[in-house]
Amino acid sequence: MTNLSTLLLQIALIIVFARSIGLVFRHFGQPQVVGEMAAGIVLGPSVLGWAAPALSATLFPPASLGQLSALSQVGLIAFMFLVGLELDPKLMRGRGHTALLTSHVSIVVPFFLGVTLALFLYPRLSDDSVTFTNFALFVGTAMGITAFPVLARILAERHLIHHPVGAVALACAAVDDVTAWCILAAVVAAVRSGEGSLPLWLTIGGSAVYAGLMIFVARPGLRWLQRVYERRGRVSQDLLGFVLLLVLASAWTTEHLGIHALFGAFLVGAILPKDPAFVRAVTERIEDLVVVLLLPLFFAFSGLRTSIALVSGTEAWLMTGLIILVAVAGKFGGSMIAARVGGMKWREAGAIGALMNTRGLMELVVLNLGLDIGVISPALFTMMVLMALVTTLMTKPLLELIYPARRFAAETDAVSVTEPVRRPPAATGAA
Amino acid sequence: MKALLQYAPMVGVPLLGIALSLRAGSHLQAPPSIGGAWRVVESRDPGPACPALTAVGAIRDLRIAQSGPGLRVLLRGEQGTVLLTGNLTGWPDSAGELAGTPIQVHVASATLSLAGAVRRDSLPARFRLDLTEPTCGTLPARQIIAHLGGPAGTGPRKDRQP
Repeated sequence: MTNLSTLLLQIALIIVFARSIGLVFRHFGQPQVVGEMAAGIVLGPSVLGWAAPALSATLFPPASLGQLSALSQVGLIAFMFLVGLELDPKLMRGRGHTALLTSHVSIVVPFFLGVTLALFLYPRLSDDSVTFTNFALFVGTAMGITAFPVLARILAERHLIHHPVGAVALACAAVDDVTAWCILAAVVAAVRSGEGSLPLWLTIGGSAVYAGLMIFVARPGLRWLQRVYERRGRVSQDLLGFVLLLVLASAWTTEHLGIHALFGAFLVGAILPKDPAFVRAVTERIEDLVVVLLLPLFFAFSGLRTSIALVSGTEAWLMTGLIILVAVAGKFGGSMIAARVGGMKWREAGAIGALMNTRGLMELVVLNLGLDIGVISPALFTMMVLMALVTTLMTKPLLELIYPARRFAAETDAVSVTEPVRRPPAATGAA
Repeated sequence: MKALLQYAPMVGVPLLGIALSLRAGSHLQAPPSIGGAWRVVESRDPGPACPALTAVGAIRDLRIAQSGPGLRVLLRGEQGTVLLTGNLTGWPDSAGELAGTPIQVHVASATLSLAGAVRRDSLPARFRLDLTEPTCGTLPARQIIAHLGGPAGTGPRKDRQP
């Protein structure tokens, strides 16, 4: 088969698996993204490679993975732009003491538990090409991730965006996302600086200057995009082309600064005007292609790197269990206790904990980045992919157990009598 | 005031914990890294070949994916590839490594066994290994020497995938 026919066959197969397994998961009340993550694992060495190695080698020959990887990276860049676009800075302020406390605790507690867990994992799953500090900071960051898109989707599905639980959870997830990506950028810069690229000071200094320019210079300067949109009443192809060009230029810049292209794409999304109609219009133009075509490629590529055979033996499975336990204790436990201390009832605090514990696709993005730069080993990557799957899978049942949907609905109805109902923010369909 | 009293311990204590854990971990030693692509520079086949060795053919390169002391070694021969799994079986401390003590490796598949020693202090790093087929009598091992950093375009850090 030629390279192109192999790639076309791969894409078709990936879409079929992602859509069908996603549908099955949706049928059981899970976010589609969990099914798509599982589809990636099914197509990888853990299932297809194990059950039919010859077929797997024919469909996904190692030489063809470069082009699949490149396409999936483009999809990821577009997705990170959408995540940034959804992120409204207003969510991060003015939510009061509970949100401030919960958001900070929901970052710092899982981070602390992750760094402490790293003391145990480092001699067992890493090697001396990675320093303990970089390894521990990465594990801490991975533990602190919350999937903002998944969370926004769950809240939108349950009409909870304006319920106190939903508002606090969204604010916390937004703060967590930004903080986690900043820490991650620093870790990537530190690891890459040892590989002969830019010196660390230049990477960190350059990134800070670039982020500052984007936020304080480019952001006000881009308000005309919204004015153009309002004048025309739609996002024209020219406008969309300009936005995409911005995304690519920013991704290129951060990649060359020594952090990662994903950060640049996220940054452009975050600084664009946040008028809900504009955000929705831009999202709608890009989202379907990204969610249906490009993101499944990323899931498949991640699945091809996930080999459950690497988690063999009792000790490895115990380590996986420990990673899941620490992840849940840090995020669910930390957020819940902080929300309770901040003044929420136990039931509401538990719901916040359950929502914050969802990691979904964002965790997968972080883990792939870690594997790419060599800060985590293949076995730890697999264990943490399993953790991401488990924590995302448990979100809805846990939420239903703690705070049933009918109870939420009753309370939201009570709220809507006194408050005008506002439209929920766009939630990336990749949720 | 109440808010500050809640905030300070709930955020401050974990922050302190992070600092202490990072400090404690700075003394930890992880196993030596031998992961990456190794290019075969010398191979000596001492005699009549066994079936599994013949099936692989002359070895061109090895790709090692490492997770702690755990190893997955993909041997790529002219006629086929074979995956061997195993561990680092012994490694010196940094002083020992400087003195030339090698890192010991043992990996195996259902049919092949590979035992070897890696020296990272030589330039390029050198992997001397004996490849045998245990079920094939007492025939001598195929002796191979590989250098880190090949084939073209691959390196030690970019090839950690399983």
